[in-house]
Amino acid sequence: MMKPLNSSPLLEVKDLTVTFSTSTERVKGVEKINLQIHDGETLGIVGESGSGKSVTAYAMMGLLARNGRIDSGEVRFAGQAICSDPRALASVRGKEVGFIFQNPRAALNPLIRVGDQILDAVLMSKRPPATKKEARARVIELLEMVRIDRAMERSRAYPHELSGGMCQRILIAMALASEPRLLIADEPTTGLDVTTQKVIMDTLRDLASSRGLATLLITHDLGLAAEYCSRLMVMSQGHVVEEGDTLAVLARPRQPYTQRLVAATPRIGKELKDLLPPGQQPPPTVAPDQGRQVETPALNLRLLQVEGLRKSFGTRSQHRQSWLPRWARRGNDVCDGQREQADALIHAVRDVSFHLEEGEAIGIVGESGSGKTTTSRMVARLLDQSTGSIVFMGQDIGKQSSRSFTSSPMRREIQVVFQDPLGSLNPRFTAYDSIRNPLRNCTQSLNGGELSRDSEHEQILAAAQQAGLAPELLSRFPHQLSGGQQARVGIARALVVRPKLLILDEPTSALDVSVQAVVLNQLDALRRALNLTVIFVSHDLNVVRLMCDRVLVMRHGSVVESGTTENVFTSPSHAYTRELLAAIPHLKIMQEVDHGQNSAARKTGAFE
Amino acid sequence: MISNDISKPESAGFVQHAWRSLTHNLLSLAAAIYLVSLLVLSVSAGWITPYNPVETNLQAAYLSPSAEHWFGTDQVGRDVFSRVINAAKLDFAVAGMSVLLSFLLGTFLGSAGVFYGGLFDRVVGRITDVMMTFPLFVVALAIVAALGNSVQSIVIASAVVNLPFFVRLSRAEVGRLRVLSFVEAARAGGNSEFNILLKFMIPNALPTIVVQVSTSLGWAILDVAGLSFLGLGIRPPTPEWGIMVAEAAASILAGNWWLIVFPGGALAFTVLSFNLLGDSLRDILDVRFRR
Amino acid sequence: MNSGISGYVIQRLLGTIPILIGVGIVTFVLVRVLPGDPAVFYVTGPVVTQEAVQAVREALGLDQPLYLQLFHYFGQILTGDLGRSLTTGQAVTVSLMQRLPASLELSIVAMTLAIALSIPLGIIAATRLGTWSDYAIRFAATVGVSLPASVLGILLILVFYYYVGFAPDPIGRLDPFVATPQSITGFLLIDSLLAGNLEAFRSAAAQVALPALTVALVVMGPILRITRSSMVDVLTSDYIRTCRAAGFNWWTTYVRYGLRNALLPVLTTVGLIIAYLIGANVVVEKLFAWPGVGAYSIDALLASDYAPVQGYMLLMTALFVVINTMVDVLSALVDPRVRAQ
Repeated sequence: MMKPLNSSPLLEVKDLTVTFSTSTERVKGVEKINLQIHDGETLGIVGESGSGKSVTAYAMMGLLARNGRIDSGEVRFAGQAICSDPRALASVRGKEVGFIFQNPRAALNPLIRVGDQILDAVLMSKRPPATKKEARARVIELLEMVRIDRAMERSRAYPHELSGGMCQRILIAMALASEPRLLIADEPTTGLDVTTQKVIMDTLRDLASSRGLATLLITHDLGLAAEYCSRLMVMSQGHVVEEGDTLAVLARPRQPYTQRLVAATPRIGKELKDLLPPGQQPPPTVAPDQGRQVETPALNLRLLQVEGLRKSFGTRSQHRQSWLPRWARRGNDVCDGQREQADALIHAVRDVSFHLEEGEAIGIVGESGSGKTTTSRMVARLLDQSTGSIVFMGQDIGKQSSRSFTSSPMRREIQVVFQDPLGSLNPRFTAYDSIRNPLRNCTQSLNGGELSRDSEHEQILAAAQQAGLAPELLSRFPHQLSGGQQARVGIARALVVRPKLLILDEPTSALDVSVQAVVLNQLDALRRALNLTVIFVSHDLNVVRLMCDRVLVMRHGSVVESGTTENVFTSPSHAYTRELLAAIPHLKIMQEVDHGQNSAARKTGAFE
Repeated sequence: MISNDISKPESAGFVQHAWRSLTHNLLSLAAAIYLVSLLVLSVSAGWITPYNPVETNLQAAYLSPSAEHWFGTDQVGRDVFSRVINAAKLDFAVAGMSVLLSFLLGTFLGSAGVFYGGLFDRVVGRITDVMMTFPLFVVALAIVAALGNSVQSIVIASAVVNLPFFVRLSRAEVGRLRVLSFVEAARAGGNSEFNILLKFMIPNALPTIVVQVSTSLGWAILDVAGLSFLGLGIRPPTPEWGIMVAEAAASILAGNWWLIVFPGGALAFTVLSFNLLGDSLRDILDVRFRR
Repeated sequence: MNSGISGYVIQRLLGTIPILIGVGIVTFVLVRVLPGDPAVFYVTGPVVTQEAVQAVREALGLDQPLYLQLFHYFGQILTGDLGRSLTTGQAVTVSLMQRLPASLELSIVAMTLAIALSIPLGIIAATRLGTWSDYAIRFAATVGVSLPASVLGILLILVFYYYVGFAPDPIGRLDPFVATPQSITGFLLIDSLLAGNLEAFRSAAAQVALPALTVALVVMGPILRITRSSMVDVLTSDYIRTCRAAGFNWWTTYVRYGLRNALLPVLTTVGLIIAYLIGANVVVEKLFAWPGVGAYSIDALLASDYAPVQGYMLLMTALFVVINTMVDVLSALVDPRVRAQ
């Protein structure tokens, strides 16, 4: 699409600077941001956490949190300054500019029917319908527009009765009620499954292109932005790093930061080491382990054989049935509610069987509720299975309850790296204590004796080094470490007891892509150096492809497809796998670049 | 190379951290100073108070505050200052005893219940529910009625009234912690259930529970004074704040302000101090606020 | 959906029946373990003989097996017979019903006052988060929960009666020289208006002012705190941000979309605060010579006269249960998530 050179932009931001006041000082949010969006254009703002991408959007529309303030700069919508003029802002916000947010269910009022919330948006729009009846008809029309079937019935639902994806569509309908000229989407699909993400983003794209709506997509996912935006703006630490047409930014990133970001985003045709910034070597091969001889990988040595693993539920939540009234139970509700939440994380698993040879890495992929994490927990003996056997090193450890397994000498052989780096560390333990704790327990249960202090200290330092954790960080508490460092403590803690089987449960899903690239490389190097057998649990197919020899695809508690990574990714046999693969945004546009087929003629991104 | 002492970094900063937290909040510092000095005064009351708190002197009745009687004298000529200080000892002792009882029993029942689950947990949970269906004052009244009008009954009544709060709080805390992934990680690291409770749960639940202890001490003092105001539990002529307030009520229409201002003020400031202190105790004990 | 709501209401109301039975059993058991033998008190006369006591025991049914006594007791409760006061000789039901309006009047005025003061203050604190007015209001709330009702009441008497002379004699519900209006509802404020007796209304209002203010100040703290915190939650919530982003006007955003959500936790807290209110009421009734049920039961307890105590406990708990069940129903009407449970 060619834009006239002299057309004035729909939205223009000049030198926008935002600061936030904390209890002690004012900190910079973003500094001197310039951006322009033209009619019908799709701009993506991409950045890692803390880059200021959302702050920019909120500041433009006067939605900053109470402690935020625009220090300087100008925001113009269709030539009109809206930053300093509340009247002008009110005539634009919600009227000419629609907004959709992350975490859609919380963005809707829980006490009001979704149809009524859209109705209010319709009544507050630029051209409200004359009668209530017309307004109601418009609500149904909007619901159908965002592809909600049984619109009449759904309009009477409350937010808690709808799925996250459905709530996001309701928000889109609200945002479009006023026929805006610009739609700002702030991480609209973060937290949703990839297949849902695709449906939402496709809907958004189709609606935008059919009504000439300009779109501003704010996301941490470069792949998503590349797929749906014609222009990209990369932000980091409150500054704009680089801006340009999608293809230009991706194919010829000028700034080192963008180069690193593009490189770190996993995509087809790239190897693990390609994720690291150009010029940076993969982490040094881990020093040979002094304690254990690295055995020469004996082929076909079966380490783990899982047969008919099942998790089913009896009558659940009997503790909630009480004849006592709600008000008397209030305090205990908190406790019961938490338990329910914990229960909700355990999903049914039906007849899962797989095996692992020594030194092999298997990936378990699936969307939320697929039972992938539940399966890994049962193998790790953190959760009791309903039926099924788990033969590990020739012993059916499935016969041992998860509770008694903690004192088993086999405990050290199976270790887990958990999803939430901060949450999986005891807030009252320093990094050093966190690593020492399993070492102490496992040496005690192994030979009943204690390790000498020196040898213990050495082993802790060695594990920290393997995980890439600088020794001076060991005296810190978890909250004093960065996300990447927390993840490394988790890895060191799992490695310190020298397990045979390492279960990685979404180890990098909470990390920014650049940190993820380094951590994944480190894990892979460790796996090879220590001849570890790995179960890699993830929702991210791109990452699984890089890390694993074989893949299990799970859905609704069952394995729908399994095979070598190569086979599953190049010729998936199950329809669900194909759907899943099609849904991942992964810089498809870059494949051509990678293959040297860059043609300057194909300049535009998606949205066409 | 780092030395072995890297494993013990946390104890050094605690005192500084506590001091920083307290000074950051001047109100809490004032509360702490008030409570500590009152405690010291009351413990040493026998040596420092100028008069016998129960000795009457009808010639010296209703004297307003003076250099001789700092807080004035009451209807039978007893020295109000001596009585206020001596009363603190009794009120602290009764409140401390009852909170200790409810704290120990409540946190044990609550955390053990959640930890072991099953029938025990359900019974504990439901008993507190049943207790909450009774207005707390009615519970206290019933206990005093059943156990007789004595100081022990007051201690027990106040302990029972505070008990459900400790049970629920520890249930909520242990329940919250149990589902966090660091407890799962502890299990993977081979910690026994006892170890998990001792090293992972209790230290993390403690800040919240200590805050409740402080608040409950305030409540318990209010309970004790309230009941003795009504004539339950502690009886005259024992020096006790609630009793002194009740005696002040009898002659308030004559405008003897010192009879209410000093014991009532001591009572209110003590409860206020426990409440204020509770808020900063959370910051002091929470490792996450440590820089 | 409507049938769902009425179904919920019926279910909740039926749910109170087992609780009330439980409450009855607890009070019964309590009376059994009470010290002293009520029969001994009943025996009048210069010499307490074994035979006389035995006769009284039989007359009171105290010699029957426990379960029969319990059965008997429930039968009595259902017929409104809560026994007789040993000191006054009057039926407890009659005495309680005579005094209940006085207590209710005090409580209702106090609660209205507390809500009317604390909700606006809580909202002000929440909208001015972190400013001096927020700190001042929060500090005032902490002071409020720290002040014993007795001390507060005496100080109010000292200031408004003794020094300022604003308030009437802090004794009773009505100036003794004012003619009492005919009792229709038992609430003097209402009865005097119904009788068109403005003088009595003014006197009753003046009499209730200080005791009600005392109780109100005691229960204000928790209401203020919950209003502030739930208002802060709502103001920083994602859905209010959605309203602002969608260009909703002030009224729609903060009143229609905000206030209802913010007041829901306040409602449930008000229900539970009644537990504090009952305690404060008793102290205030004693202090202001207010002829309510609390003072009546305390006097009985001090005289080891247990039937009124038992009746009072039963009455207060039943009221507490019924009010909180109503609060439950009310919040279910507002909140669809509660109905879903």
